[in-house]
Amino acid sequence: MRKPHIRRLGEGITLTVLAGVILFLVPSQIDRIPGMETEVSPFFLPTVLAVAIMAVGIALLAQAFRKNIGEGEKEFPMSGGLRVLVSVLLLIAYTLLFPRLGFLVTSGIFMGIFTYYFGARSILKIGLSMLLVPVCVWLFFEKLFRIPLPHGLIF
Amino acid sequence: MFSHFIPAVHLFFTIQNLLVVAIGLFVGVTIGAIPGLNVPMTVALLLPITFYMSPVAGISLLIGVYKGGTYGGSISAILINTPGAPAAAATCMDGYPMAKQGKAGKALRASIYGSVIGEFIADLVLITIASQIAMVALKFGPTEKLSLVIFALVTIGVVSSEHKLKGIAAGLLGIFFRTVGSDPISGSSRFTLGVFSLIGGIPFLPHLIGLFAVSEFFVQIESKVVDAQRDVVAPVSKNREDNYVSWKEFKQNIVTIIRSTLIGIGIGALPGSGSAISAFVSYGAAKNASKHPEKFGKGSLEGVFAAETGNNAVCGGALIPLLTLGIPGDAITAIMLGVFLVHGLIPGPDLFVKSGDIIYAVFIGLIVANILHFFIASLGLRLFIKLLSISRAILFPIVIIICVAGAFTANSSIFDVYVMIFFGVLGYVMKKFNFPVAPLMMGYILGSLLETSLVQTLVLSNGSVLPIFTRPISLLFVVLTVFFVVWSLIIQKRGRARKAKL
Amino acid sequence: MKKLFLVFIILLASAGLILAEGTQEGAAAGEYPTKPIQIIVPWGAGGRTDINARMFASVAPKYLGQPVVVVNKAGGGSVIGGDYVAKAKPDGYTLLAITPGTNVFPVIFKKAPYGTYDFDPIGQIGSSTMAIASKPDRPWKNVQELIAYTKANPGKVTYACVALKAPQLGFLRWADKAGLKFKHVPVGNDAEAVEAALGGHVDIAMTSSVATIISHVNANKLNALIVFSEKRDANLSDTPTAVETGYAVVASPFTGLAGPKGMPKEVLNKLRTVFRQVIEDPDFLKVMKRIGESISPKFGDEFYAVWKNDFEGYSDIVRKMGFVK
Repeated sequence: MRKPHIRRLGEGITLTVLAGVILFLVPSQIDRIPGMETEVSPFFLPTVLAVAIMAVGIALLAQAFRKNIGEGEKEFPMSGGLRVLVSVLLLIAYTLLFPRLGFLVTSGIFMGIFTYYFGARSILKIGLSMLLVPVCVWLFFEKLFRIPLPHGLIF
Repeated sequence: MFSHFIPAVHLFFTIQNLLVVAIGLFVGVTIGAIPGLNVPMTVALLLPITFYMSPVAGISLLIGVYKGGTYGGSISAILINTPGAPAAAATCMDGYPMAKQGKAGKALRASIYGSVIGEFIADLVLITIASQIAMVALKFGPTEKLSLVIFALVTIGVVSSEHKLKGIAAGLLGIFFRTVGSDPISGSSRFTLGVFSLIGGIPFLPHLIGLFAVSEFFVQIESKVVDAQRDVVAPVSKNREDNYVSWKEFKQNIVTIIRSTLIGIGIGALPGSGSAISAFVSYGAAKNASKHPEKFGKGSLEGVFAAETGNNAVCGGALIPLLTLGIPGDAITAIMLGVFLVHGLIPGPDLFVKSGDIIYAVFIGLIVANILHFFIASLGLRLFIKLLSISRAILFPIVIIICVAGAFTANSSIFDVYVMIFFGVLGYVMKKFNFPVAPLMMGYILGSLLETSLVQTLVLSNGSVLPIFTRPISLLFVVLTVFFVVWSLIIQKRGRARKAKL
Repeated sequence: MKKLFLVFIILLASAGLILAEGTQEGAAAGEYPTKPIQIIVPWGAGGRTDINARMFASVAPKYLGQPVVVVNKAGGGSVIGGDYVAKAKPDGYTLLAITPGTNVFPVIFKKAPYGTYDFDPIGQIGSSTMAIASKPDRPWKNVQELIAYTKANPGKVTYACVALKAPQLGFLRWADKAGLKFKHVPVGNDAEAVEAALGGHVDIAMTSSVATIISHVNANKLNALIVFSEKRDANLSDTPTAVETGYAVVASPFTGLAGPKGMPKEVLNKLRTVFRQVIEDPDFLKVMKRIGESISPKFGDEFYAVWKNDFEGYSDIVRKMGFVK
């Protein structure tokens, strides 16, 4: 027996487990309207989907053991992983703050953080984009399209 | 027809109408290109203004937005791998690789030519044989729609990745995400996990922005910008042939353009489908028919032509059931129906008899919009391509700010912004593991049509699935589906064999 | 760089102008309203309720002296938007474009975290006429023949409509009184129901607004069999009402305006006065008439009575059909 392909193994397991979770949730997470006498209940499609996803997961698992994979698939560079994680957290912080501080202020702050994190170092550029971008977006939504964005304590 | 023509010309050709079409196109292209904004929302916002215009002007404005918006999505799809509209998701697959090779100009031009030609032919079909096509479209009952949806889903799963199983897994996941919330039949709630905001299901716009734009943001932020001046998404080639579509290349793609146009008209004429599906089916058909299927996904000009012609031909197609039957095919035509009604025009069989002058004036508007579309898009091209000269360090933070604002404003809900982030992370992980994201979006879009048509089929046949095989149109799609899968497997085998020989 | 600075200065200036405008708005403090009013539409942009709300919002500032902003908060069959308004501060700055889909059906089906009467009624803008229609090639030409045919073939005749909302429940109320059994084919909206009937895939289309069938009836592609309004519809004068068939059901989905329960008396009065002014405004009437929206204004407590009538009527049928335990 050849050594299994680790990545494919992981993908297969993830999908199979995910399908298992869906199947587990089906009975408790779906309610039924008693008098609706349709041939297909609300349970039908999710159950079929979960079984199908599981089948694909198992097929991927099988591939991990028998096939020579690697060709045609890009490698998975982990180098940027930490930077992505940080930016996900930043994005969540942004979402937490903007209903409280208001769209303009929060966006200005995070525009600065993101451009800096991306690697821009010119103070003028960062400063300008911190001011200009949120104001433009805000004008566009609120004044042109009349869709309100959250206003905060200051503005 | 001709008795209406002269008065229609007089009705349409006013400075105001021409200006309105141009403005509509301009607005459409802009919002189409911005990931956080979409055409239905814009059309709805413009709606009250159209109430105070003449019917021809009001409808022309919306047609301009519709056409421009369907096209506009391709700009950001090609330049920054972020489709501004779902219809442009198929354009990403080859448009962005082309931009990476420095051929952004060529890809953008191909998208203009494809869109304008597709639209133009579709408009002509609408003007000449709309009612005949509508009669065929009515033959599509639940059973036919079910097999069409299955055909579309299989096509999309199969063509959008080298790895078929992963494409299928992504499609299935997409359908699953659609089942979250209230089911489309009885409204019983599913998989809400006790979260109140989820009873409405997963909102579409945040899902779309997350999957494409936010995931691309994460991909971009992986690497730090070293030289802020020069680090751009993709450098633009200085060679003339990389920035233009040559006559020779155009001739090679004429068959693809015609095929995609026909697919677009057909899918557009069926209520409830839409431009994203058409783009993918056209793309799949082009790949299967191509002499170079191995180039698809790696910067194939054919792929861009197929996707862009396919999605814009839908605009003309979708007006067919709207005008002849009064049945809107998608969210945008549903709003247009409102405009027709406001002006006392009741779409349906007697529309052409009762208001022939206005309808033919609208038809002239469609054609004029086509011509203007070509010029506005070509002029804009120089401007759009400048996007590629902005440093990534500024460009992507701008994108993310617009995304957050767009996700929030669709339903004025913070929850939607979290949904966007969730799908951003999911899209990023999928990209890293070579799972295509497009089938996930398509599964989501088609999920409810799949479920409703399945239920309807079974209700009408007392629980039997046999009608799928006994009704002729439905059988045709079943055969097509099988053919598609087998053929693309053969192509892949052949491609591998060729590679092995080398 | 120079260009960038110029743009920057222009933007700053415009931002300043907007700020100034904002403070001016605030200056007229005291009497309600002192700031823009939001109307929450619990459905997506472009639908019937949305258009009504936007029309109202475009005329109302004339009488309110403040802008009216329409905000779409769709999802959950309008429960999310409904919940938002039900729990909003009752200060008259957050209003709801209300339909039975928000404060009647979700309450009956126990899907809503609020009750039917958790809102203060401002007024009804209109109500639409529901109708059923069939293709002329079916074995019945009018409602009597339909009743006879269905009696002979119970459960064979199919009808397409939106499930568990006004169309299906209204139709069931009538079928139940007539003692008829039909087969339901669920569809997503009125247009799909009409499409299915035109294509011959189902026998009957039940739609929540006659606007979707008039053109087909005029072209003899569909026969309108019954309307569910109090009186016959002006556009379908040959079609009897459900009441005329001997099985009296009046079911016309309303569209109107409401606010969170507990608004101060003077605010509510102001809103009701403005509502009456808007609904009698010639511009407003002109456009609404063209959309085919029959304006049937009901004010304050009359509107409340409509809710009560709907809630009780639909609750009965829902319990009878066993849709709710």
